[in-house]
Amino acid sequence: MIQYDSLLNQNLLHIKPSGIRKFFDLAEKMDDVISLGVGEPDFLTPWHIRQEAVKTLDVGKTRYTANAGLLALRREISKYIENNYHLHYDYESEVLVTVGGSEGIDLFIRAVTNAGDEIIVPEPSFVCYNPIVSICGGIPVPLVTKEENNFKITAQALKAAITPKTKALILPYPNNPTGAILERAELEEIAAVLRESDILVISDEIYASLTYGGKTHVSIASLEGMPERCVVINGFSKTFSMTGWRLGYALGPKPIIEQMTKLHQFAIMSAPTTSQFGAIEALKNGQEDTEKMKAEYDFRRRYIVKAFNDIGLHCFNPEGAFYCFPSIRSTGLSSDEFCERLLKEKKVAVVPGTAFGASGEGYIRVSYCYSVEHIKTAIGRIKEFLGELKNES
Amino acid sequence: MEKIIKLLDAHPGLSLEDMATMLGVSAEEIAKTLDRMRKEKIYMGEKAIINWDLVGEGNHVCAFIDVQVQPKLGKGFDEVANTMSQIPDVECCYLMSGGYDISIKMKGKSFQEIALFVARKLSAIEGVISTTTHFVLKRYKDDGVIMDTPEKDDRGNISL
Repeated sequence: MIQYDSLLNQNLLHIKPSGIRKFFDLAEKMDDVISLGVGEPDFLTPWHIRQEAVKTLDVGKTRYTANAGLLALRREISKYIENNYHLHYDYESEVLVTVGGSEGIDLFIRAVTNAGDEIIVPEPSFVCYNPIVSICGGIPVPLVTKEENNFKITAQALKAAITPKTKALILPYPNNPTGAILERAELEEIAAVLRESDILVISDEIYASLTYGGKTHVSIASLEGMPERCVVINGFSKTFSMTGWRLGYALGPKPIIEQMTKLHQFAIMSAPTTSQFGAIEALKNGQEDTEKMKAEYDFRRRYIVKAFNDIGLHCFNPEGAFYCFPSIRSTGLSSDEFCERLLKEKKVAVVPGTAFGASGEGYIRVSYCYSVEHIKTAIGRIKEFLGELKNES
Repeated sequence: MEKIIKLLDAHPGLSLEDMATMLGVSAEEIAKTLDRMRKEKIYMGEKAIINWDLVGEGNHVCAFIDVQVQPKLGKGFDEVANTMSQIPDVECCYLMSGGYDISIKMKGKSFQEIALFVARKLSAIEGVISTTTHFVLKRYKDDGVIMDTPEKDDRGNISL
């Protein structure tokens, strides 16, 4: 009998499967669930983008593209990020089209991590950073963010986390799951710490187009002295509701992008061609769609935050992405217990904060990528659940 | 006002309190603006979208009628259009550019009812030169809503 454990990559083998897998499986198997659990837009990809992609299939554009992506797409990306985020990247050597933002994150971490390198990962945050760092033999160093700091990393905490082994900082803002953003003054403070070092930054800006309350996203790579140490990750999934197209991009200094492209070339060859053509249309003519979706998310954001506060679950005011992160501490339950009981007793699915790191304990992540009616029904059920919990005690 | 219009357009039927929350302003301010919009006839009310094809009973038939009209000196098409708008079963009445002058959307219990109405009443209105009636055979989309939308959310229940 083959001992698979001894044959597999030991770094991979030792990554623990997420403890909440069981909960996820349970949620997926139930079919009459009112869910607030998904991390993708409820809008379909705008029609004109779908149509342009179909047109390219009709005329037979079905081959590989250049490894780094269609030149025309890279040119549009370069224009788009310049117009929207004041970022200047040469589309021929500093832009890489990837399979979703996720591939860009994977490529960056693999391109820079040597065994023993420390990568600072703010928490709570998206789940992919730590495992990839670990697979590469690196050490993820959690940088816990707290609600009293509006879930922002602070220059002080960052300084304390830096050691001689620190290779890079992951900067996941606007943040999934908290909805926190970083503003210019805060970024300047972080940049001031980093400028004195050789620490790289991977700025995961996949939700950059979704900031609210008149605040616009500022990329750390737009600050003085930062482009040379930053790789920016962005993509089409959230901005243009193109999750299933699997398309993103990485921007950075040529020497890093070159190595990431090398890896991408071996592993992927090139991002899906049809998706790349769709993306060109998105960048050229999709700005209005983004604005419309953002306005709708903003309506729902205000509604859901107030609704949670009204039913007695204190909710941090998110300024970006499409999640809110209410505290469930007042119930006395752990995040996992709360979510499991809510699912079983009221058939409402939300994600335990702990799915995003241990520091997510005491919180739940709630997505507002749902119609207002749907959100109302779900909140109504959560209110009932809270009432029943009170009666128990 | 622009924001309120956008919200009304996307989410009809919200309470004043919900509208206030969603726009980040006070309920009083919303009430005041709505009042002004009603007075200025900018806000004319809200209507349910019903998939009549599935209601069955009573056979809700719908037709679009292209009407050619002889305009009246000094009054243009307004007089005829106003007369037509008074008819309860006329749901919409528009002045059009192109091959005909007035477009009417009307509802009735049967094709025959509408056909007879057009022949006996509509054509008899002074100034009407001709009518062409197109019956709706199937509704695919009404007021921005696709009738055949999937019941189940294909995104599943949870993703990170």
